[in-house]
Amino acid sequence: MNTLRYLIVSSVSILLVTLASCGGGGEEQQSATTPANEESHENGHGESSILKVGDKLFNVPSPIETAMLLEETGGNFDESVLNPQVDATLYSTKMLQAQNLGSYGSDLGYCLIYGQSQKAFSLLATCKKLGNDLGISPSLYSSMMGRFETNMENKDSLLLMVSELNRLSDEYLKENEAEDLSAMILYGGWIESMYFMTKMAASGENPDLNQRIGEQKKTIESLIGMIEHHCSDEECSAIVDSLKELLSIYGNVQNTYTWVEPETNAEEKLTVIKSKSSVEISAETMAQISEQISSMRNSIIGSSES
Amino acid sequence: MKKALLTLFVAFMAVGSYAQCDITADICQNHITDQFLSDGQHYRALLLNDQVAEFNATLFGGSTYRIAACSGTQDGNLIFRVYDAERNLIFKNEDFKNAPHWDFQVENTTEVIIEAELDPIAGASGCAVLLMGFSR
Repeated sequence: MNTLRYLIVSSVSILLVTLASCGGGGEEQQSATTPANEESHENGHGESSILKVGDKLFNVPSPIETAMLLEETGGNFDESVLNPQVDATLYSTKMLQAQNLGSYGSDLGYCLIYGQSQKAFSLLATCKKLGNDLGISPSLYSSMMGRFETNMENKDSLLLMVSELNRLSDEYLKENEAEDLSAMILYGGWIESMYFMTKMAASGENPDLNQRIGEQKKTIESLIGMIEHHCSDEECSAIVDSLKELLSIYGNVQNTYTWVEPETNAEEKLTVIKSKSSVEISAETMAQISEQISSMRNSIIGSSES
Repeated sequence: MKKALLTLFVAFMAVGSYAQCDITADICQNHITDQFLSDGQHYRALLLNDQVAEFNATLFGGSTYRIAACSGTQDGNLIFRVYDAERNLIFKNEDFKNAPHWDFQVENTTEVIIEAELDPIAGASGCAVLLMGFSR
């Protein structure tokens, strides 16, 4: 069935590409090749049309990057914040399996950053089980387990391996028309890393963490767009509703931004983005965010108990 | 008979196109070198003519990001521009011979919009692949 869907979608794409490549048609052709649920608008680049892929290509921060910030800010490793559910067979639906794969993936990154490679290895085995259940190429995880075991002492190598595993899994799911599962993995991973941050920020002693929590508004919008775009069943609708509630709490976060001309070094192929930004977030708003994140996380990790 | 042939042809072309995306992604990944950790995501879009793919990202203060942008099997086929949320231009690779990758050192967290389009010289349609890596 998936293969058939794949062929139909791909065939339509190719036909459209082929038709467009034949030239002519102008405006008519453009509108015919723009999917109905994508906005198209002029963008100031002549007659170019933008695939308004705010609802097509989405970016969610890497949980590993978040874990790095936690370590930088001086937080200690806290095993109690990890997803406690270890029997991955209890996650009965694909959606829950995907969300928990994201959640365990975040835990895995967190453990690696803190040098807990043995714990990370055991989490990788859980990820492998969930990944296999989701149909992600078994060879991806099998080869990773072997490489992981032989590099246990090399944190940098392990981080590279795990981030690469995440990318290859994402690529595999997208190649196989399983964007809904990809979205659920990203969602689960983001919620888990937000859970770490809100728990650590609760001590109120770390302004960097508060700032990072306050900077997630765009990510919430991306998650909403991504899930709405790829999935429309009841489970997804409930997740979108929860994200919208969270977004409404973020309405109380004050963000400021001032444009500063960037500096580019052509030789180093590097641009330094120098714009200024800041976040103000009250204790009350932080508590509301924390509560909402905990509730959303419980829906992910607790739903396996049936 | 004609219908069957057409179906076969379309299927062949479709598989070819997605295979092209996969090959492009493999080539593009070479630009995310070991100094950078992949963000774990794979962004791709089939582009026609002068269509522009756009996506929003948050670049966090204190991190350096590498963005790699590819189409087809050769470097330089994809033009990409990075704007802030107010549409101030931060970078465009057209100024640097369509450089296939660029690094962005971020002092303070910045919302950006990344646009990518095919260089008309490279072809009228194709698979655009964007990859992001980060280091702290």
